[in-house]
Amino acid sequence: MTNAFASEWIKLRRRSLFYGSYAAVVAVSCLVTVLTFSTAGHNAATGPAGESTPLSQLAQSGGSVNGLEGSLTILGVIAFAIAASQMAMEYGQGTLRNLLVRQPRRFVFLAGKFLAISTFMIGAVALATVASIVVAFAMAHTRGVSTDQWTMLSGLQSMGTGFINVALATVGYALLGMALGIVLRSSVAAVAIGIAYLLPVEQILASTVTSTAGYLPGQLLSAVAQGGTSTIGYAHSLVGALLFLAVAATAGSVLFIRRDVTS
Amino acid sequence: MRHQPLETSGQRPAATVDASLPLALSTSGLTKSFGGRTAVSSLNLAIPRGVISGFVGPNGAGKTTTMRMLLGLISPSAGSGEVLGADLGHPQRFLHRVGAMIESPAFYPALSGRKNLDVLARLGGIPPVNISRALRRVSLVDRAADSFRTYSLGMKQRLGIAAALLPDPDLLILDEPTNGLDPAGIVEMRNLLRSLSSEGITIFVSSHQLSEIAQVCKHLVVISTGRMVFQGHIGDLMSRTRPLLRATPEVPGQLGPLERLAGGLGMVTHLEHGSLVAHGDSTMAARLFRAAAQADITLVQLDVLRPSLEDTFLALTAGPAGGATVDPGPWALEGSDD
Repeated sequence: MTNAFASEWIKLRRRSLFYGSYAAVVAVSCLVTVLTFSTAGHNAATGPAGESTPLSQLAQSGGSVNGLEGSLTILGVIAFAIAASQMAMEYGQGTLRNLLVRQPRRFVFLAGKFLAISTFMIGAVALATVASIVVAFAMAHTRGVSTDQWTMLSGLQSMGTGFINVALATVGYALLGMALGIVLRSSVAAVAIGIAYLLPVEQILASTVTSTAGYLPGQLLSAVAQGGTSTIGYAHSLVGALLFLAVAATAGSVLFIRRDVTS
Repeated sequence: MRHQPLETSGQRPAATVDASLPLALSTSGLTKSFGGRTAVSSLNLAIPRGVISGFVGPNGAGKTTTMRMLLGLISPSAGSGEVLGADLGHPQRFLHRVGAMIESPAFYPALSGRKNLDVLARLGGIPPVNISRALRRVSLVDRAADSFRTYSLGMKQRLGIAAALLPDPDLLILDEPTNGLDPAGIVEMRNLLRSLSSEGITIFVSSHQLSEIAQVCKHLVVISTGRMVFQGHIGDLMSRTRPLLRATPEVPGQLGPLERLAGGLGMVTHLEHGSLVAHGDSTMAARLFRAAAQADITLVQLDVLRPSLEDTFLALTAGPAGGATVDPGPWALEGSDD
């Protein structure tokens, strides 16, 4: 598996993908952090752009990673798109036949590839976490939000927990992307269908039929990233997301192992 | 006169293969169906070690599907086989000794030639030193740092061969390696295959360039519509196609009497552009010459024409069963109906 992991990383390190993805992830997390602080008021309010966070909540121990957690949907979409295209392009470009001649144990190949994409995304989230926290400190200063609790032990723990939750959710999105890439074998189709579902379809479904939110993969992963929400508890989101991911991983693996490589 | 190919629905007996050579690759009843369509049917391959074996057949004959099955990319619907002594059903037991290029060379456009090989070498646990060696072998060292998308078709093909050579293979499976190459590239590829073969590497190569196959291969497998129509040494195949006699009398009015003479000698003939054409070898030519002389017919031309591999291939694969749509011409195989 380490060979498959190292091999995949050669592809992930190519300049356009590496710097492009990392820059996008950092930019998104910083932007959301800026927006979180700049739209925060003394009380929680719901506007056209969504629910704003009260300044008092930002001053609590988890305030430093509030923006990072809020950026999960876009981070997830980026992870989904990268994983789906990295998987589907092997079919589309015909490179899969070369790869499977060199590593005929298909599950080992797939596991190594997933591990490489996961570490790639965890690296991106780590960078986004650092950037987001730096921006949060700057924004807290401009909005007069106290950062005393951020630097206490509980604040540092919140930073760690926030990073782990966002990283877990991002890896979950990546797994869903890989599975869809295997099913569709086309980068364009996998990314387009995946994003169309995760953004408009699921968002509309969750907001119109609120009872479904706890059973939709994107909503569950979003709740994992935030450590649970007011409507979906952390344990529920974790178990629900894991169930979805287990089904996706099993279906993707079985299909990948059993299907003839004709491209 | 229309000649039907010999045994287009059955298989040549294994006796056509040199039994003294151990086999690099063998299959028994190898079959692949996609839905209701059978792409490869009951293929019994026997490829000797250390030779260059050609794999030819019309488009859609099942060559690539067969090669994919040999590489574990496609699972057979039925049948079994061995590659380098290991069970075909467990590709991990033999693929570390096999190099392959299937269809067009497929690589990552944004990565350099060297990085592309690095991806495959790392995946297969192949030492990095093999990358430089493979690049040198195909004369791509100078362009190794350039991205794959800037390569010409010939360079892409050479990188495909380099990728196949990465594991120091005992067996090379190459699908149309001369596709898209210019004449110089084809000669280069031919020399490379000969050089690799001289090192003891078994090469199983498919090609549409029959003249190339004739120049580099000792052993040949011909398939058509998924079925084997010949397997053995090229010489055996060529000897199965009857030579043609072409006789032209000095006086055109003697063509009729000459045809009757030939018929009397048991030849099956037809007339073509003022000449008599018949199936027969040099012995038959001598008999016809003597008979013509005795009948006061002066021949200004008497040729024995040997078929090319292309002629033989078309005769083998002609007709609805064979799948080829090109007229096989006057050539016929031994044992076929006249």
